[in-house]
Amino acid sequence: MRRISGWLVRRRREGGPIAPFLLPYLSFFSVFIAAPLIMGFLLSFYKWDLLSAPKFLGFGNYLYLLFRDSKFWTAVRNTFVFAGISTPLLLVVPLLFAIALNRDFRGRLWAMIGLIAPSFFPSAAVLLVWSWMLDVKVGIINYYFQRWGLQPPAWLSDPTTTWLIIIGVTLWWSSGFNTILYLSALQKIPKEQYEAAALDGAGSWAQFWHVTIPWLRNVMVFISTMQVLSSFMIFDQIYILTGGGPYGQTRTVVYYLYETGFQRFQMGRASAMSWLLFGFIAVFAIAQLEVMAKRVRAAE
Amino acid sequence: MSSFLYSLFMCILALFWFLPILWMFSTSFKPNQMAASYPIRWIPSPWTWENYVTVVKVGRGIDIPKAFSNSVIVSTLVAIGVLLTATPAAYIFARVKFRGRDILFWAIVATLALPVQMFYVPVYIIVDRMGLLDTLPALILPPISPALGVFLLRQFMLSIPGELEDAARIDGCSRLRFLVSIAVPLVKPALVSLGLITFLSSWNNLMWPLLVIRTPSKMTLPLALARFQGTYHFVFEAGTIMAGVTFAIMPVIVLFAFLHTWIIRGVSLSIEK
Repeated sequence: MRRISGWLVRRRREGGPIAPFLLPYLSFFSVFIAAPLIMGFLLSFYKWDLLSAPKFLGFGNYLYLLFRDSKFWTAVRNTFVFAGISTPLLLVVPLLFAIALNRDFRGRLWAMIGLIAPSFFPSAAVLLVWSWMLDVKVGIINYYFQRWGLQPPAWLSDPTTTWLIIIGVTLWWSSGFNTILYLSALQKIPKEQYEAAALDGAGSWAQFWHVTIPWLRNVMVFISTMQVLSSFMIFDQIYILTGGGPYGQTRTVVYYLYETGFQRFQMGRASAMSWLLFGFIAVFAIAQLEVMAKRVRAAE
Repeated sequence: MSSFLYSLFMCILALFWFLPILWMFSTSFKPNQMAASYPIRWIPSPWTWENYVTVVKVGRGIDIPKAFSNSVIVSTLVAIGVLLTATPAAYIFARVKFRGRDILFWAIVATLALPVQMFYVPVYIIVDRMGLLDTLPALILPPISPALGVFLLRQFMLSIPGELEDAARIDGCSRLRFLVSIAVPLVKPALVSLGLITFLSSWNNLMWPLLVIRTPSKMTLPLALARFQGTYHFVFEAGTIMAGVTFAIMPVIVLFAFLHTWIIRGVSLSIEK
């Protein structure tokens, strides 16, 4: 008690107590972040449907998911495939955009709105537009396929084309965000570096390779880490475009989490799943940082 | 390449990338029976307001105007809530030494590494026990305390010179006065950007409202739009669907056209610090 009152009062001499500044944030933090974290962890050891009394299972939920639930592993595999394909694309395409935008030209603002603004549109809106454009009967994309004499694929009934669509739409939707990150990094490269390289006889390709890319290394590490994180969390695309189909082939971990926790109300199992998701992310992030660190060291 | 050709190339590229949105916009002005007719007409003729009227008049129980105002209320309050709680906390973390400060701060920052969906199951239960399920506060309160705001603002507060505060203190300036009239104006750009980014991410969120909201009159725009899919049909009513989608996208285009500098700065904040 004395220590707490000391914490509150002693500081008065130096400008007043600090608790009133911290408490609003800390109270939200403890109710909606700290407490849920602990609760979720404990819950992952129980079986609970929100109504009856929770039943202790030990590691039951984890064991079930890891060793007996093939759906879970399919979801994990799907999530990894999505992360593995979309991350490189979202590393390269925005870089091209950023380089193209990183100079003065007439209509630059319009080009920026066209290329960047879609990242800020609500996913539900974007996905609705795309799922309509891909509609088998009235979609504009099938219309053009037919006009050019091509047989249009059955987009959302075949797992492969469905994944192509999910990745394509994600690329369209999130490129702008990474473009911004690249642009702000590009603008920090000192002009003298290019002048010096040009004096040494470096062409524009050599300049790009030996000046631009090294300066962008940090932002690339940042983007790929963020991108892997967010592709592990993919949900909206699946919910609106496919509902996990065809045949569960596009069910991702978070979508499965949604089905388990909020359609079947198996809260304990869903909690266990979210901790496993975190485990995968942590392993992936650490591995990625290792590789990146090694590459950076090798480059130096 | 001449600069004219470059401009032309970039504008065509951007136009092509933006084509889905233009197609959406154009279709929203077509009468429904024309929306799926081919060959394609990019400029609707005849054109009509009919779809917007259907949407505004709450066609088939999907109340887009209500969802729009819910989205505005929720996103605005979340952004204000984040700024009001994170600013004073960030200031204390940056400026005042107290027992356990660093442990507390880094414990908060560590939660940034956790995927947000990890919180959905337990927060759902907490919101349920608070009796807030299916109410707007269920959308407003939980996202107020992400670590990101405190983390970013603290970095900015650290750059305020300590002598400034010492001088103000000697002149009898209280901590609160200092925060409000000196620190806040100095970090204003960071506050505006953080507020905008928070607003936009709340405006776009689909999954959390999907979990906690049932009643149509309490839905936000993304949720109401998601319901369009099962309620209207692409073959017969594409015009109406696209009018609804336009409602969700237009404010963002306007916001972006006017505030793109701030939005872009807000996004780049996360790597600069």
